[in-house]
Amino acid sequence: MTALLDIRALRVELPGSPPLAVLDDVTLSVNPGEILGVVGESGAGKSVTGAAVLGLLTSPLRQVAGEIRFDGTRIDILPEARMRRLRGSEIAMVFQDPLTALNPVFTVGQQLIQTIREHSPMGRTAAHARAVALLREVGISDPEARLDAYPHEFSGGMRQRVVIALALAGEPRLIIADEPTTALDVSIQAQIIALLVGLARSRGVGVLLITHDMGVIAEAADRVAVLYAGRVAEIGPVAEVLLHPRHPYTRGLVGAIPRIGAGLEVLPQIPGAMPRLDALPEGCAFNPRCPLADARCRAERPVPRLLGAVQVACFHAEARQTDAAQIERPDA
Amino acid sequence: MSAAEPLVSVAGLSRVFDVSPPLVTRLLHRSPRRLLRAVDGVDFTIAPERTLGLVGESGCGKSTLARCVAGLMAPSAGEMRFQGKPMDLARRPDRAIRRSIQMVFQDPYASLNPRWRVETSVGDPLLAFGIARTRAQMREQVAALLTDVGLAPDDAAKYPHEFSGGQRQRIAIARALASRPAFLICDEPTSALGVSVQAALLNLMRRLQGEYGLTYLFISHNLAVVDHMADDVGVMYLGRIVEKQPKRHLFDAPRHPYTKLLVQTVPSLETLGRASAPLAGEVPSPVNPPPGCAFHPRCPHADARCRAERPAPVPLPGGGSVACHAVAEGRI
Ligand SMILES: Nc1ncnc2c1ncn2[C@@H]1O[C@H](COP(=O)(O)OP(=O)(O)OP(=O)(O)O)[C@@H](O)[C@H]1O
Ligand SMILES: Nc1ncnc2c1ncn2[C@@H]1O[C@H](COP(=O)(O)OP(=O)(O)OP(=O)(O)O)[C@@H](O)[C@H]1O
Ligand code: SF4
Ligand SMILES: [Mg+2]
Ligand SMILES: [Mg+2]
Repeated sequence: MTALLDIRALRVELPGSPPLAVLDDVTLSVNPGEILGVVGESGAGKSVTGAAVLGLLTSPLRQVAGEIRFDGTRIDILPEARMRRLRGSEIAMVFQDPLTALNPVFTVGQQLIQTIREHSPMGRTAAHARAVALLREVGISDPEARLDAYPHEFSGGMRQRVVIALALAGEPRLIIADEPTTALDVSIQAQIIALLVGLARSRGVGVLLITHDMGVIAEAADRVAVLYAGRVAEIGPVAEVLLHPRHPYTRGLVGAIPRIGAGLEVLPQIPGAMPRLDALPEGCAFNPRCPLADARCRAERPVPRLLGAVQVACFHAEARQTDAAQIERPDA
Repeated sequence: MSAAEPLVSVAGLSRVFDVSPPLVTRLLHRSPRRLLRAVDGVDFTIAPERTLGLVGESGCGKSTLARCVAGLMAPSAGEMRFQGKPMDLARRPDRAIRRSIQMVFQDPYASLNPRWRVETSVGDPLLAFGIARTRAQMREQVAALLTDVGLAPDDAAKYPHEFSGGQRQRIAIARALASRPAFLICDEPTSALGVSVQAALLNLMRRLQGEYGLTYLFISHNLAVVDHMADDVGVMYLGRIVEKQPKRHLFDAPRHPYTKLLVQTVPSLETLGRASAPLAGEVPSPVNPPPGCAFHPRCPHADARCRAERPAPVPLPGGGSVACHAVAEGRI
């Protein structure tokens, strides 16, 4: 099967002397009907990855190496006019704040109908019917009546669903969702996740789901990529990565998740902080924080290796969990 | 919930926003004035050195409540007592109270002036409240505060943009602690951060609570975070506190149907691969809240009384209270 989205050795830089690598050798793919979760702490490069796929890197960021293919075709070298057509039709985006994606002065119906007609020429009545169908598909009750409402009359969860309905108007095959549920309460979050999972299963839509919420990843994703300092630390099936994390960073992340009823005095934490772009260490980017780091880790950059179904960029990924248990010792 | 004399007690606190369309539009369309009840009759108390956690979805009024309690916004109605003394909420609080009540925001940019060096941000309250009398004293105390929050004394010379999100939040905490407050209001202090940065900050805040003898109002939409931080937990829905209990009771035996829904749908690693069945229904708009119990349109136990009459909080045996007719009538 050809991957729907195939990112190979992507490198994005912040120009300067020397230029700084925001994404460094990022390789990942999304198959049709699959949800790939992308996790990592703030500044790891999650949003930049999504923006690169959409051809929306903000200046001064530049892609300097690698390839991005959509359905087998390179899209990182498409002229902007063609890329614009692709965006919003075959590739759609959903961002954290639904208000910025909606125009406050037009009703939800006006915006939906306009978007529908931009993508496929059809009469007003047909577009109206399609708008109603889309709102129904994203789970908005009484869609006929809701078409006349303005965005501010909707709750956060409803607005996010309207944004997804807008994204669906072009019948996309790939959705890039950047923190789509971060602002929402868990009950509404569960609805949005169910909606995305449903789209993947029923329509074969591929989803790149960016989030820093491991709970969301656990529920929604089929596979997950863990980003650290612009590099992929670990990528594989979600159950493997979250239940048997192999990279010391993933082990630390999973250990740091607060759990209801855990009753811990102190949460396990990874000592130190992710290095800044201009202060990346030699070798493995995680080595200053890693309990398993040795001379090789400090000198040589680990190349991703396949261990079972999981790809891990670590020299000591085979170490037993217990050897890494000391990671969970907080440095408080 | 605790026998000790409360440090903070709030009764009947409300805040209404006028969100009417411009006058011309109102006259043209004969639309009425629109009032938004962001906070609607909230009561709570917090004993000294305890933590009240507050959860609720986006838009339910958590930040508005926090701002009113912090004295940053005048409520429309309600009373507050601090250290046993009534506060005049209509007026800007006096110096002694401003000094004793501090707030940490979700976005540390909101509280840190980007053009100020860290030394100025953290040292400003020291000078303003006469805690440091000379610049030399101020520098010394800033260095001590920075060390307390896990930063280096040298960081005083830097600007906010030189720090990561987690470090900026540490600076914001140092600034809040500078005036030696008794009460710290934390409004989603870790919601924008990844789990590993979050774990470090939560550990820091618990340690500081002991060292500084702080009382916390801790707001988050992440139930596991609130479970880790709080002694008692309040659940907010559409401007009202619908349930308030010691945390073990709340998580082990939630009483309000909304709390039950929240506790059941919280995503976690344990729910790997099976998205929890989301409850249908929308969060209603605070402009047109449903009559009776605001939760009734989504509640499986709603009856005619729920649709007509607003439930008053009734005390629960283990401490705390719940505002639900079905619980009061013994139906659930
Ligand atoms: N336009 C830009 N100019 C300069 N640096 C940028 C730009 N956009 C992103 N960066 C930098 O690139 C890095 C990755 O940023 P990115 O926004 O992808 O992080 P993220 O993983 O999405 O984090 P978050 O969880 O905070 O959203 C960061 O160091 C960021 O400061
Ligand atoms: N200055 C304002 N003018 C008008 N409406 C406001 C104002 N501030 C807040 N609101 C409204 O009051 C309600 C409560 O907002 P608030 O920010 O307190 O919610 P919150 O619980 O903190 O949400 P979040 O989790 O998204 O931070 C929302 O409907 C919001 O739109
Ligand atoms: S390569 Fe070395 S430093 Fe990097 S994560 Fe693995 S053990 Fe740690
Ligand atoms: Mg981002
Ligand atoms: Mg808020």
